[in-house]
Formats: sequence, C-alpha cells, structure tokens
Amino acid sequence: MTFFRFLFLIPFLLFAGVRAEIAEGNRHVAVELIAPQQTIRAGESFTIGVFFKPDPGWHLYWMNPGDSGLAPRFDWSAPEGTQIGSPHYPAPSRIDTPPLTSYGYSDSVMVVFTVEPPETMRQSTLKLGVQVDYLLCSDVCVPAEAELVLELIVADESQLSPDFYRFEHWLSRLPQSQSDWRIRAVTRESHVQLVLEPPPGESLSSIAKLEFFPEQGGWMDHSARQFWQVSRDRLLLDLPLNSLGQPAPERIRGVLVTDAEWQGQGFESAWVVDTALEGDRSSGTSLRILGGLVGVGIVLLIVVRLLRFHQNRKKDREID
Amino acid sequence: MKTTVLVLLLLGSLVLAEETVTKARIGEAAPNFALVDSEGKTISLTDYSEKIIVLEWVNFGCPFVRKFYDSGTMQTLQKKAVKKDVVWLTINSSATGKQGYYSPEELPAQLEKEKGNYTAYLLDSDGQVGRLYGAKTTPHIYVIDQNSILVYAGAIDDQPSTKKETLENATNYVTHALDALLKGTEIETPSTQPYGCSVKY
Repeated sequence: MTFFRFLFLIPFLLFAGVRAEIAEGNRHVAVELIAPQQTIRAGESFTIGVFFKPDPGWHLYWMNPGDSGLAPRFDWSAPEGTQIGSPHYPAPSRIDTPPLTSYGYSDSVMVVFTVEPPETMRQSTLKLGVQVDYLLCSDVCVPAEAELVLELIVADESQLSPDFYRFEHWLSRLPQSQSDWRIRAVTRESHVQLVLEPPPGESLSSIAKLEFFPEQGGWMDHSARQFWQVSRDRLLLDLPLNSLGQPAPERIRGVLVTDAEWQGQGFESAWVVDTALEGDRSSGTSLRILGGLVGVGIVLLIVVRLLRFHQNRKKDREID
Repeated sequence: MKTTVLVLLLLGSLVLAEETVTKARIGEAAPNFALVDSEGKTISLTDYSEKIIVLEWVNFGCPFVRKFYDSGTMQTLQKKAVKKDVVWLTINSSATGKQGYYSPEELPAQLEKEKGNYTAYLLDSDGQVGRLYGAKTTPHIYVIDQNSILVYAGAIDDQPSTKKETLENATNYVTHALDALLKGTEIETPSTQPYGCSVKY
C-alpha cells in the first residue's frame, strides 16, 4: 500500500522543481480574462481578452519573440459548438539586451480573441476557460501559468462590463489593415525592402517613425537598425537579414509601427503587413561585378597616366 | 603620387572584396575558434577536422536548458552522438557574474551535478565565439559536417516550451541532422528559429 502511494507521488516529485519555478513566475505578473460586455447573444460573435500586467522590470513576449523568449500559449476550454479564434496581439516593442533583441511587452498588454457561440444556447450562461502558459523574463527567465475562467450571461438585452473602457482601449491598439497605402516586399542582395506607396497627395516629409516586426522569426536580423528613406514619393524600409543565412519566407507578414498617418503629431499606429516577397529586378551580383570593373578601370587609368607622366618626365630630362 | 595610387588601388580592391567578416553562415565553412575547456585544455575546431561536430549553447540556470538536462534528454542525445564518433562541444557564453556563469571554484561541482556526456565543456565568458556564431538562445544548436561546413543552426526541437511533457512528441532537429549526415543524405531542415532564454552576454 505504502509502495503504491509512493508510485502515485512520483509525478509530483518529478515536477516539483518546475512547479516551484512557475510559482515564482506567477508572482511577477497579474493576469485576467476580461470582456467588454457581461452579456452575449446566441449565434453572435464577440471578443474577449487576456490581460497581462507584468511587474516593473519584467516582460513577456509577442507571437514572434525575436532572438529569445517564448510566445504565450493559450489552451481554451469551451462548451461544444463554441469556436475561439487565434490570438490578436497589439504591436510589440523592442527589448534590447545587446547584441540580442526580443519582441514583447514590458508594460501591460491585452491579447484579443474572437468567440463564436453556437446558434442555439440552452444554458443561461456561457463559461469559457483558458490555460495560459507563458514566459516571463527580467535578466533571467521564469515560466508562468494561469488558469482563467469567465462566465457570460446569455441574454437579449446587453449590459456593459466594468472592464468596457479598458477593453476598448486595448482593442484600438490592435494592428489594422491599411487599404490606402500600397505595401510591397522586394528581395535585395543583403536585405528585404518594404516599399510603401502612399495614397495620392500624401506628404512624406515629416515622418519620424517606421519600424517593422516580422511575424515569422529567424530570417530577419531582429537587433539590427532598420534604415529607411524617401525615394520618388515612396518610403523604402530596409529589413536586414540574419547573418546565419536563413532564407526569407515567401510571404512577408508582420506589423509596421509608424506615425505616417499622423505626421508630426507624435501618434503612432500599427499596420498589418501581409505581402508576397518579390524577386529583385536589378541583380545584386551583376551590380557588384560592375562596381568591381569600374574600380579596376579607374586603377588601370591611373597606372596608364602614371606611366605617361614618367615617360614625359624622362623625355623632359632627355631634352634637358 | 605614389600614395594616391595606393589609395586608389585600395579603393578598387574594396569594391571587389566580399564582406570581410567571417561570421558563421549556413552552407559555408564553419569559422574556426579556440576555447579553454573545463579541464583547462585549449580546444580548437581544427582539432576535429573530418569529424561531425555539434555545438550546444548552454546556461544551466535557464528553464529551457533545465527541461533537457533534468529529464536526461540532453545527456542521452550527447551519449548517442559521441558513441557515433560525433564531437559534442557544449559552450557557455554567460558573462562573468551573469546567470549560468560559474567561477573556476564552482564549476566542477556544477558539471558533476549535470552529468553531461559532451566531448568538452567550453568557457566563452567574453562571448566572442557566441557572437561569431550568432548564438542567441540557450539551448542553441549548430551542426558542422565532415567537411567543416555549417549544415544546421537553430532550435534543438520543434517544441518551444519549458514543459517536460513536450519532449515526448518532439521532433529533434539534432537527431535528424546527425542521422542524415551519417547516412549521407540531405538535411531536411537546415535552419530553424532557436527558442530559449537569451544568451547572457
């Protein structure tokens, strides 16, 4: 009997170390599952959010954590027939620990999900549960987890929740598709270039901020500075490639943070980027060969001039 | 005049020259380095020419590294590789005083506890080799083939998590790369995004 009791204990003993670490991770952050409304209607989709508030000095990660870290993982439990969509994150910030850069949130953040309840609901409430596993880091990292539950009332009349304004604030922070601007991605020799064409009449003179966060990790150099310039009424943003030589994906997806819409007013907005990666029309290799030939040409020209100069001096001396 | 010619010659050759930084790059020769190991011996990549080499970046304080060492997964991987004549170099790039750094007095006891089956445990506290290889996370894995070509760089497996349960159904990229090299077949996934704690440079 005692032996069996011991067997029963083994899994707990094995995971005791990890449990202690998770408990430590949970101490540095507050997590909540919130909704803008207390009520929902059958068959009508609605949004909910998982809200994180890490302690000062701690951060959590975006869907692409960058050079290191880990995106949160959400495992939902919901009544049959209820669909829960994929996570929508606000634009992240760079977290620099040279020579490395991660993408995440050092301040509070809300991750948004769309829920589609069944067409007919017999229960008077809808109970949603989520198990969140995530990584929290300061100069060291600790795993953290949360089990959150939210119960919403099924009713015809709607009732705001106390979290309504907080929820709306975070909802407005989600990256938006930009239909006015044309965004392309082009392969260059040592980088991928985002080409942004503004709508007619848009001035590009006072744009101060342009930064891209790639959804797929690995191909881009996350820590390198992204240089940009205005050329022929377009914005050209250079995305440097990772030095290891991992190829860029066929589609460039991610978030562009810019003040292009609100020039000079200090407002930034986040745009969704999702565009096929085009090949380079001017081959980089041929450019380099051309450059080399020009270099050799100049040197040859100098040598010839020099020889002539010497010959002339010789002649001058002979004349003397 | 001579100086002008020299300057112009230099400029010309600069235009012709490729990038001079010899950072590690997949599909190209792995840059050589020399580091002192935990026994005080200097180990260089060229000591193992014509052998398959695995580089593993480590920080024993990192929960992702703990997943692999506490479960015995890393030690088993190392043992199997070394048995097949693969050279396994475990590298610690934690700077002095940062997480995962051990003083010469602390190190032997720590390594005794971890029971690693690597060929050597290398000390890179100034982070030079880590930067040369662009090591970002612990763990971060690199595989070098018999011709000294870097053939794999990235994550150890496809389960970015600190949870031990994820080991069970994981696809281990290192095992795949080594199997392919030993069989002489192509490595299906030559690069992945590494996951883990940041290297504590």
